[in-house]
Amino acid sequence: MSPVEEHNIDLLRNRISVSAAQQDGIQNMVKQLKKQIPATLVLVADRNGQIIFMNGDMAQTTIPELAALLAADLAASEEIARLTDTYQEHHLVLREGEKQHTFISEAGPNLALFVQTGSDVPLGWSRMLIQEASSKFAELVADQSNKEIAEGFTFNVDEFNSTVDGAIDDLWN
Amino acid sequence: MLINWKLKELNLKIVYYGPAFSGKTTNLIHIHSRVDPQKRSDLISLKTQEDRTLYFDFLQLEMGKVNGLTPKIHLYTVPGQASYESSRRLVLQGADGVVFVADLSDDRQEANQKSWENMQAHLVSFGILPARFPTILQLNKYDLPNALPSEQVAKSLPVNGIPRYTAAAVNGDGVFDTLRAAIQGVMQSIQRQLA
Repeated sequence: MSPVEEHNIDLLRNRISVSAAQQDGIQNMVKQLKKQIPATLVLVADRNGQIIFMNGDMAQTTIPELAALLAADLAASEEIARLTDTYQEHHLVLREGEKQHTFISEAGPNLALFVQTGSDVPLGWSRMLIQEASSKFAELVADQSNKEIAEGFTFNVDEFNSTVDGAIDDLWN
Repeated sequence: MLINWKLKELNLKIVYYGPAFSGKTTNLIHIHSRVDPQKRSDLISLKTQEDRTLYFDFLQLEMGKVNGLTPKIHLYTVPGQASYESSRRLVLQGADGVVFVADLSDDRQEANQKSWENMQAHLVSFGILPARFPTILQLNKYDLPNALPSEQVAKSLPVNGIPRYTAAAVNGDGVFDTLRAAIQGVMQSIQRQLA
């Protein structure tokens, strides 16, 4: 294997690619889950805290922070489970409250799911639907063959090089 | 990295790593203060009661379109204190690039060394070859009276070929140059993957 090929494998290890069809599937499942529970907020992010889809009442500006904290919370509780030798697959964290409950669930190796419900919704019902949905989300993004990169996207190196510097400069006031 | 082909988004994670008190959070505070609020999230900091980073700081930047994709850059810091080893590993996981913030103060060289070795070990444990991972070295606090020459500190770390920037992050000096180099480094690695 050449150094370049080795390098690409290193970088690809972290990549999650969500195709248009997978995104549509996630959006439909999120909406369905929100209605079925019923939940006030459902959010799907990747395990690094990058948002994929959110449905519910929340200011758009605070979603990136919520997604980052969701991934961090799940990672921390998984690490606690590993350190105490209690880790199991389909890990789910419940925060029970007087007015609302929040659930944080792993959805396979790539995704994390956040669900918020009113406290009047039975916990067992929510838990069952969330665990079912988590498995479906995991299946949905399991195919990471990234075909769209080759078939639906043309990468223009010249355009890339000329625009990336300008885009960075535009960030700074 | 998360590429969403429907939303045309490219989500990237850059982690500011380094020993305690080296100025990682200070970098993010300055970036937050200088970037147009329309192009960034709020800065979130999970801190101890003593105002030290407990878990991480987080800030998202949204760049203009590049080759039809909107890059969203997620900046994280790790907690520097020795006892937060597990947290550092969790935050570093999934990073697309790192900024190592070294402290130029003469009494912090051992801490720099340990933190650098610790970061390399974590990257290796993730199956990453550190020598080929997008990494930027920031040599911070050159403005302090006890600061060592940046060349001397850089030589003490095995950082051959890694771009490095001298900074006084508390004044904002060198912060953008470091950020720019980190984003460029990560974007160049993306270019190699997508081209």
